Amino acid sequence: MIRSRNAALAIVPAAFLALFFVYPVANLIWRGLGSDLGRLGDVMTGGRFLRIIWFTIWQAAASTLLTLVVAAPLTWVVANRRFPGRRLVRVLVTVPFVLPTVVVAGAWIALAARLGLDEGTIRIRHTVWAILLAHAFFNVAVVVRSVGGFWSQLDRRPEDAARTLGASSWVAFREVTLPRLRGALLAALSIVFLFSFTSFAIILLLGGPRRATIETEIFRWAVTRTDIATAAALSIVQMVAVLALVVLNARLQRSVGGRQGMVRDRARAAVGARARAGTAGSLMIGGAFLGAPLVILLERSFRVGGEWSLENFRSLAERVRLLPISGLDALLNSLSFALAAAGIAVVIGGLGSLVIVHGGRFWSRVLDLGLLLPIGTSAVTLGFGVLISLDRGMLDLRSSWWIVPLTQSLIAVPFVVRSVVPVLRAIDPSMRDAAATLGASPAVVRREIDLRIGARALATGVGFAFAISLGEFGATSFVGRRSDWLTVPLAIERLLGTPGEVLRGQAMALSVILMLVTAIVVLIGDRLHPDGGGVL
Amino acid sequence: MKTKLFVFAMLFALLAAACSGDDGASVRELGDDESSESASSGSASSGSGSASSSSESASSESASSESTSSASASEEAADEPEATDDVASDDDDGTVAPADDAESEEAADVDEAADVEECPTITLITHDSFFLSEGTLQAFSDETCISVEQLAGGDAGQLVSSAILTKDNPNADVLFGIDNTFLQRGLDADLFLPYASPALANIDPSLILDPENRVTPIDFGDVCANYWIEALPGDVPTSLDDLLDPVNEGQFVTQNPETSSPGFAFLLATIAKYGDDWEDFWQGLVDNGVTITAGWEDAYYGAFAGYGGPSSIVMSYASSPPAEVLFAAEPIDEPPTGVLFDSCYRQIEFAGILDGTEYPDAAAQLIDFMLGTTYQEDIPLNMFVYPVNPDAVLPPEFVEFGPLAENPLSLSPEEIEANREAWTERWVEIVLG
Amino acid sequence: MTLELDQVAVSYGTTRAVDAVSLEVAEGDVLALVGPSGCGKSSLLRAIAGLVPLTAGTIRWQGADITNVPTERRDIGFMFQDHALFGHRTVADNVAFGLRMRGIGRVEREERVAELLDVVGLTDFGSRSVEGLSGGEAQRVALARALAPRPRLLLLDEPLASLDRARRDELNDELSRVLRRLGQTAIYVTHDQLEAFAIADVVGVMTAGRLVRTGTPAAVWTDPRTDFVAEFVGHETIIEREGQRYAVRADAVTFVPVVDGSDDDTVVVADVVRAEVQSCQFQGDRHRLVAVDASGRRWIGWVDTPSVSGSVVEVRLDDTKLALLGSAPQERR
Repeated sequence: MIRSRNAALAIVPAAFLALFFVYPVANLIWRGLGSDLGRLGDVMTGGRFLRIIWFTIWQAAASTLLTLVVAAPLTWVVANRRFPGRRLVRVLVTVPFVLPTVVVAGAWIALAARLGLDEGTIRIRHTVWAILLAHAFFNVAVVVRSVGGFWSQLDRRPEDAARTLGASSWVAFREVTLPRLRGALLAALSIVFLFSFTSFAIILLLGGPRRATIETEIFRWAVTRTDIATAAALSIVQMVAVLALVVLNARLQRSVGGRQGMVRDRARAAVGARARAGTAGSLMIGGAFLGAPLVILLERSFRVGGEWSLENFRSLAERVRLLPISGLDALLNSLSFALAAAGIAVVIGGLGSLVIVHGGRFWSRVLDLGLLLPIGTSAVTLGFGVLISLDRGMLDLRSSWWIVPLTQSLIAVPFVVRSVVPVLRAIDPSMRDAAATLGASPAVVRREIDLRIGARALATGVGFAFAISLGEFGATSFVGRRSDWLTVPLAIERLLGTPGEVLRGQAMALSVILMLVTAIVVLIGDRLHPDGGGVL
Repeated sequence: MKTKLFVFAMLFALLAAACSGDDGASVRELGDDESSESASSGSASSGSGSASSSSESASSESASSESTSSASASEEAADEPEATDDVASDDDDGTVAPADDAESEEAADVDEAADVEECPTITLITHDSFFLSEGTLQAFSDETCISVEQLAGGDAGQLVSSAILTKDNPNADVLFGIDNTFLQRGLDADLFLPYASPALANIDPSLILDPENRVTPIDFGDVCANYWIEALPGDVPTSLDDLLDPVNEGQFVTQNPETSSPGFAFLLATIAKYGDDWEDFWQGLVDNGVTITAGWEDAYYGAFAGYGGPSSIVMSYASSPPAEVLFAAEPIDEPPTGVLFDSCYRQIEFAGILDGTEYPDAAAQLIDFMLGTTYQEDIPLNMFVYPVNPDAVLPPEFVEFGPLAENPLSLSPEEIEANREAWTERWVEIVLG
Repeated sequence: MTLELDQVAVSYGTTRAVDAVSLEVAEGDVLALVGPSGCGKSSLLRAIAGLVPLTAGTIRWQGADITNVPTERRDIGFMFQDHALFGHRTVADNVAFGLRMRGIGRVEREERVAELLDVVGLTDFGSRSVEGLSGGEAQRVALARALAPRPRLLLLDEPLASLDRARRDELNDELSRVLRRLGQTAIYVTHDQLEAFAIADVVGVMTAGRLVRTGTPAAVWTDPRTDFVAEFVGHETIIEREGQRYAVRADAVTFVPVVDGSDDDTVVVADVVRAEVQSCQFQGDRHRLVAVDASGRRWIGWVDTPSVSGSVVEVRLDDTKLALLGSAPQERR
């Protein structure tokens, strides 16, 4: 009986996934390869393709590693130290996440020029380092927020016990803390890996013309050459690789022990000069890495013709030349899409999480893997897939306002799921039993216990969903969008498509506004759950 | 706007329901079984009534999607008994192959169209850089009572590829933004219905590339190298060969033809100019330290001397100097940049009526309007290209600072399409090694 | 009988947690299930609540088979070992939960919550968050929550286990008082036989999934019948006499100090043994003395005046206070 009801719950997320992801992608691949399966063989055996596949995998792995290294000091300090502005740090790390790549790339290039890093023998631009650094820059938030949030709730006592048994703080971390963090780490790193695996603009803009990944190749074949067969073959390769990773990750996750001792907040204030220096040092490392390019952005947004000025911001209130609407309207558009995308992500991700935690083995696994897949799928495949699939009758969503948040939510749902599931798993089962003995049916238990406790984590996931939508991730550039639906990132790119100092200034001002709005939205999300509960 | 408000309302309700404290809402009789439980299971799963209704509709959509072909087709057939004749006659075309519902839909739509024939709404799909002043398309609607909905469908490449993919069931009536580098691909795919606008008579025949008039030229421009006058290390460059001059070593930045439309145009320019020797020219550029970026933005705003970059010569447009004047922070009399006219490649953008439109007549009227002076005069300052209609009055900045190349380079669309892959691959070998 | 269990079994995979248990509880009675950790008593309790499915047997309430009725419709109250309070709600919300599930209106709900909080002595705690409560307070909230919907049966799973000794005794008394006052039918699971004796009308002793002895606390204590039960209720020493085996109750033993010099450690008469004092613990009004005789047998009894460890005492037994065990010799240890 419980089984069948969970299966009923699974219908909504499963149908969503089937309709907006599996069907479009399968349809496109069928269109490409249905008559030409040989392309798959060509792709699998072509030396150039194999090199590209290899590069894609290793750059994603290296990016993930670098992200971890760069995020480590901030993650540690956010989890373990109480200091003024701690919550703000958790908020600010998400800001880079939403910025258009072209803007960030510009800021990095300017920074490198100022530091003298692009002259002579040391060159960052158009090297693989630029790709790795940029991926780290964008993805630090995922690690800091998810792992840091989880870590901050981990009971200290097992480590204290290890210390009393003679372990140094490092040994205690390695032997006791790290194994307990493994689940959260794996969840975060898998998302970073998938983002790096399918990243597009960073590879093109920062990696230089010589670097190609599966994603950029799919774009090249599908868009520049309209060779859908090759693009579909590459998509299959991409999905197989992603699926393998996701399955591996799920398996590793499953081996992670279930309930950990959780506390409200393990962080303590730094006592003593050494501890304070550790706190300050960690913050400075993270701050310099994330902050330096953003400072350049800020500076550019406040400069007009070599002078400090607010003109760039002021002019956005009106209808800007070269934009069909005012900057303010673009912001409202962005927020509307983000609200819708976050709403869809909450419903789908929330139901999906319930099924993953309570459902039968089959649905639990299907949704656990399936809901993560869209992050690892080419935007081209999905975008074109939507165009040729959701095109009939009441499903003709190609030009609908809703297709934008729907496709964005595909990328946002995994964040909701990855933040809610660990919390639902951590709920003391006797609490559910207690509710049952008090007369709550399984459905009511889910509402009264899971939903109530998961709500905080849900709010965290929503923050990310918002950010993903604000940052225009996903396949939305492929579906037709009305010009009065222009969003902030698209407006920025539009402004940066024509020469002129004023236009660049306005683009930078819009970027700053986008950062600010993101920070506010994430801050509100964090406020909804004062304990910082949840993994993301 | 209504949709937006609806979304806000719905989601606030949802969040409120999810986050609010308990209330008397869950009143339920003890011992009440299955019925009340399944009802509460709905709200438990989604947090509020509105959300569950939306998810219900999603699932019902999925259910119906499986049966669309049979159900909707039969329904429509029942509604429109005379439609069957149309289906039978349509079959003779042999174009629409698999889905029989498409035909009956078409038939139904023809009927529907008959009711509102005079004032239909048509859809114009464009690339993302398309932009007009407020009210320009409204002028068309006022004139003809045809409403136009404009959609942006990605960059020019995405636009053409999408159109080819959705050829059987296009999501627009008119496509604007296919240029001469992609034109042949669109023509080969039979995307467009022929239409010879009477306004074409007025237009420079060199801009009309398709003799069958499946596409109509709307605007054109030149992709040319620009230089930042103050940053030039030597004399002002006047010919393409000057880019190979050692004095300009490391000074030139252009874009990857695989990912950028001006980059591809420049490759075509060199092929048009040097013929088979284009490879040597590029080898020379590589030896002289050419920089390659992915797109126009990171070349112009990232590498160009005017914006803090190291390169004084950048691949851009003949219309870039007027933009520099128009969008200067402080008013200036002269653009800070100049154009290397010897490098210019002519880019022409076309509009076409998509085969499959329900409103070919309205679409044709839109094409006529796009060639008229109202529309044509709105082009330069919004898209920084030139109108094809010689009667259109150019803005003063264009007249003063934006002259076109006298002898722009060009290649035929057939030649481009036939060689695109070979050229770009050869380019990759030479330039990227 | 109100609650009847007939050959109830619970298995987890291949492990039999509860094995063919049959028992009955009369209305208003408190049954205490005792046994060492892992004996299956908690599983049995969860089975009665419907939280784990039976692998065999039936459960009846007033004659009606409720084996397959889902938990939420069994009309029971359950107090969990770690209280399982809803951490995201206030004290009052916790107590009101079951009432809300039964569709009871707000006014009545509030009245009942106030009444229950009075009963457990937390009158002004309603608006507090449960996260800041002490162990004892949390336990009272859990009791109030379980009692609020007036369940026909209250199940308590080691409700005092997480408390310190002093709290435990106090709350045990209070619990006992509340249950009596309300005439509440209840099953109380504990591993502590003293706790069980203090609260129960009937005690059931479990081991290895089986119910091995039921009876009133006094009956079980005075007449444990098997070695296991004897030992479990504290009768460690087992002696044989005339072919019969007896458990030696603590009150059957008297220790008489032996003056120095007469260190004759052989048994003089049948009932008199000499033993060396091993420990003598102060327990307020008396001392618990443990002495070991030459054969290594431990003797346990109460004395009024303490003896020094190492001193020698004479052990005397009151034959009327020996508990006859089943004849099967099951020597342990």
